[in-house]
Amino acid sequence: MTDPSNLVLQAIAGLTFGLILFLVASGLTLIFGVMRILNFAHGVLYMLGAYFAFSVTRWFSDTPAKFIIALILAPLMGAALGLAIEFLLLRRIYRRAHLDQLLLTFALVFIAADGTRLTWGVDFKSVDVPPFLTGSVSLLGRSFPSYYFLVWAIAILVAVALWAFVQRTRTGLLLRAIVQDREMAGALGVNTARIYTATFMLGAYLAALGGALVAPLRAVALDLATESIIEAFIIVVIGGLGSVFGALVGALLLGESNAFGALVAPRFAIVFPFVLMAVVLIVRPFGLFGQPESE
Amino acid sequence: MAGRGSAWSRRLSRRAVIRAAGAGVAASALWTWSCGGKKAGETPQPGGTGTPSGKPVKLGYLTSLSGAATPYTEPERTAVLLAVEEINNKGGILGGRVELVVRDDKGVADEGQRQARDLIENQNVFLLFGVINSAVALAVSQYAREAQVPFVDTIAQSAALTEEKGHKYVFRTATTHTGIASRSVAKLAAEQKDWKRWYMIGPDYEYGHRLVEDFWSYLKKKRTDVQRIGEQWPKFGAGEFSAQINAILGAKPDAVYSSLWGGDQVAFVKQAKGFNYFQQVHHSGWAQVDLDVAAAIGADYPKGVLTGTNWAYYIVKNPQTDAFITAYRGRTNGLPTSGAGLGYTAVYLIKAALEKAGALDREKFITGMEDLKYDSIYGAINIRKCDHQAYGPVFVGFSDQVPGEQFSGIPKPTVLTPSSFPDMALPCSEIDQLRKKA
Repeated sequence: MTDPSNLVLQAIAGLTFGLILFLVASGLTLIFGVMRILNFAHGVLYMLGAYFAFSVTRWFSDTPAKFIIALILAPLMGAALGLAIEFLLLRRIYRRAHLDQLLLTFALVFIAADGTRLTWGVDFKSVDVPPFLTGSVSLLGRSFPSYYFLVWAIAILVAVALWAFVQRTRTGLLLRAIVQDREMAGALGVNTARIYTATFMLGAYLAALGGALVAPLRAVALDLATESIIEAFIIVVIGGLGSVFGALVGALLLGESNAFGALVAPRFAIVFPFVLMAVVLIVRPFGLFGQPESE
Repeated sequence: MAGRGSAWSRRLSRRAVIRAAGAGVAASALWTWSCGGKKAGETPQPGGTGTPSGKPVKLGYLTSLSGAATPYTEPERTAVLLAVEEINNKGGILGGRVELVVRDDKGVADEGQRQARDLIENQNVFLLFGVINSAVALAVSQYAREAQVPFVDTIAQSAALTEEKGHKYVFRTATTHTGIASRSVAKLAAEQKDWKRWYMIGPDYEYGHRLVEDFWSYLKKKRTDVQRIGEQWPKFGAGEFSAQINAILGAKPDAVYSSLWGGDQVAFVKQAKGFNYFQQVHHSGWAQVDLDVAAAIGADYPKGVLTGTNWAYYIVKNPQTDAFITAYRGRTNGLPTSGAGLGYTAVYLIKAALEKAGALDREKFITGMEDLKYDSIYGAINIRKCDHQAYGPVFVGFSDQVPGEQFSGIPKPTVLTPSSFPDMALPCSEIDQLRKKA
């Protein structure tokens, strides 16, 4: 316990989990912030990302780079699905009450679960770690999976790209304007419909990317839909609705609390995320990086 | 006015969104329902012939058709339907056609109880059987007791169901439960002289804890030099275990006992491999290489994992098993999992008990089940009268490649039977005491 290298390794494990959670939570918070939709189907998009990756690796089973192809294609398939959901369903109910939107995304969860069953069956599917990343590297005298470096690289790339997109592009500017004051943005002529579609596609892309990325570390199965969604909701609440940076901080906090909880108090590790959320809600009800409603 | 109105509605909506987020967390938490263990199996025996013409035998089948349990419950349902069809093709039970009424308990205790009530009161089924989730099984068992209707548990593994919470109307046809399973693995674990420092990991709910505690209390009884140096209780369905794996390896145990199952088990093994975990500790646990999990991980499942199972198609060689494999493959193109074996065996045991009873009568059925002896796909099994629990062979050993297959299993198991390993079952006097205390 007192061995400092243990603590460092635990922090690294927490960081890895945090980065995976960030991929899921960033899309959720964007959709939340921009569209004010609580997307229950986000976990389903994450699950489908893993199934898409499974199918792509099957289609290209003879290609050595099949998993890399899957990492490119699966999120795009997720984004295409996101486009379909937004265009065919969500678009029709923006003016309705929150409850209707909730019901719709909740219904999507059940539809997707049965659709997945019919398409892939219920047995556990498996995606192999790409051959060049199956081994481990020595870190502070212990073995650490090489594959996790790919997880880090992609998650950090996504974080930077998202930051650049939100802070440095015109679309990002409009997006921030909508988060801050949607009515004003609309009144000033922002094409909110197009921004909504783009946001939902981006959210779906990120969720599916997360699913594809964890596929080699999981059983690809129906319960992936619920695996990270609770954490993602907690992260969004902690980080502040609509704040991508908040999602990053929240995800890392959760990853580390999980890691050190496992080390210090494994019997209670399971409640740490909820305690963290409760504290944040009491101290800063709008989240660490969210903004209180401006008057 | 308009400005204030919109600011107000905006604030309201923000609050509504936060409330909705809270509801989301709660609903999702509910969704990740916990599940009870798994396992068990059976074969056609020549009975009558021709079309059944007597009074139909209506059976209420409760199972979870969605969520994390489906990799177990779908094969079970396939096998239950297969057994019913086989029986009906050979004259039914007591000359009556078997009719199945299938209900989804959704893995939720209340729902299971509600469906059980409906099956009894509105569908007039003769008995209830099925269930994978231990919490559901306990709830249905309680209802069955009040309604005085037999309930035959097929998969759910909590020992409580036939130990302290057992009663006249509840039976378990699976030849294992958390106690039998853990004691069987612990018997072999106790023989490993240098496995002294133990670490436990399991999902944080009834089944996970019970499997670990049953294992540890038996190991402690057999070995005084063992030490429990730590434990991890991730939530069921966590999927991510690198923090737990790291913490375990940091504590440098000799051996680890795991009650993780299903998708968690697949995820744990895949992640642990990257940490070279299997080179550093001896891994053990119940049902670690059952077909559903082993097939998902494939050929490079780590060798030398100490584990056990109630049945695997490649272990037991008898005519019943052969016939079952052929019939099952004819339906699904897949190999029967232990879950499939459980459903198949349960239906044939119900048939055998009814034929022993000689009448479609609930009280006579209970007497028929008691001390029932049957040659199943597992081999000889016997339902003990004092606890209504089925006992048969339990297979324990170390994981290795199954010859001729692309997956691992326990190709060379040690076979424990109630006579060769009496500790498998608690003595009837102890069962009585447990029930009085409860």
